[in-house]
Amino acid sequence: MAKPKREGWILVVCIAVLLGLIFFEPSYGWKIRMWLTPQATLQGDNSSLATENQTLAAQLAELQSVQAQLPQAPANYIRAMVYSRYPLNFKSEFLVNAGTAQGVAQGSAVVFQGIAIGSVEKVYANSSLVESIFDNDFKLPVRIGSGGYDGLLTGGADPIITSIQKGAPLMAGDIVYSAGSGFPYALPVGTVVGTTTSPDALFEQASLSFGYDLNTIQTVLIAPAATSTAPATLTQ
Amino acid sequence: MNFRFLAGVALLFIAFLLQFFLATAGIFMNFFFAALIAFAFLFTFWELVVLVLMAVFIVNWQPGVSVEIVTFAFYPIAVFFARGLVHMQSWFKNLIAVFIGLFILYVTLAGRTFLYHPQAFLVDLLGGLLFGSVTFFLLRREGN
Repeated sequence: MAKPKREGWILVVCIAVLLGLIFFEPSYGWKIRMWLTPQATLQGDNSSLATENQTLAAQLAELQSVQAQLPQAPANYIRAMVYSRYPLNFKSEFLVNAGTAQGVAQGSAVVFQGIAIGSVEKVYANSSLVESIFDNDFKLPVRIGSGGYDGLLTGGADPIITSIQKGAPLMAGDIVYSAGSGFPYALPVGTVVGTTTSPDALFEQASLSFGYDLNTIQTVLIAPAATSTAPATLTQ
Repeated sequence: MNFRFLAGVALLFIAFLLQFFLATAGIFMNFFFAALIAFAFLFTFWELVVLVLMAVFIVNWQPGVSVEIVTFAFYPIAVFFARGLVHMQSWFKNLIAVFIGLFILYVTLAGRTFLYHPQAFLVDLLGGLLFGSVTFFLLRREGN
């Protein structure tokens, strides 16, 4: 009789401890997840070179078309570490260790090696939830190439640019950069791989390639609220 | 603390390891959810609550409460209370519960994925049924 009673108490203590951890110290859970998650090994030179290439291409496009319109502001981006990632395949979100206390605001751009990879969806005291461009709900007005053709970046497992005017002379390798309100102007997003006509035949749409693997990213930079320029030289 | 319960904890961690390992390769399965559903047929209420809280603690990716976490936490508990309402073999009830759980998860959280990429659901379902069955048959005792 004593053994079941003792087991019952052990379970009650376990429940109390777990509830305390879930509500007051969730970061221990994120650490266990990091420990359980195998680290991807596809980091290094290729990824860095590809992202650097995209950054340079975006800067070139920016210089060719819009440089005169850009105010040069000092970059005071907020550095943050990736805490945990959305565990299912329904969304593409991750949590970073900077929140309102560090000056993060909802909607701020999130940057990896000078490339926009998402925006801040929710802000907590010392952490923020980032919606990446690979999330189905992500939308961002963008411009393409030195011609600055407008489009709408539509997130998903394979993000595409929609609503591009028909006949726009886009080429593979054209840089795509941000042009949405509340987002720094001319942040590179990716490069065009190919174009097709939209299903309604009214617009063109473009598929993209990205010079990074989201799953390997450990550090990001978050644009402070009301930033209007892209970080020219920011790298992690 | 009995051996079956500790084996359940070990299986839960194996489910997480498998799930996170496959996710890095772009294959998304809900092994731990299937394991929790199987646990509803195998453990007492309080043991199940501990295992569910353990899973929530590890899988939660943000400080706030989300639909996903509420589903993971309450569905196995609901299965625990509903398991006596249907008169079938427990292993078959387990399969039905895994199917309904994953169906609810996909319809509520990823309606578009479910409609346009049903293969993602089917792969997840296959993995879930398999892992749920393995969990059930490894931990069941006479009478289950």
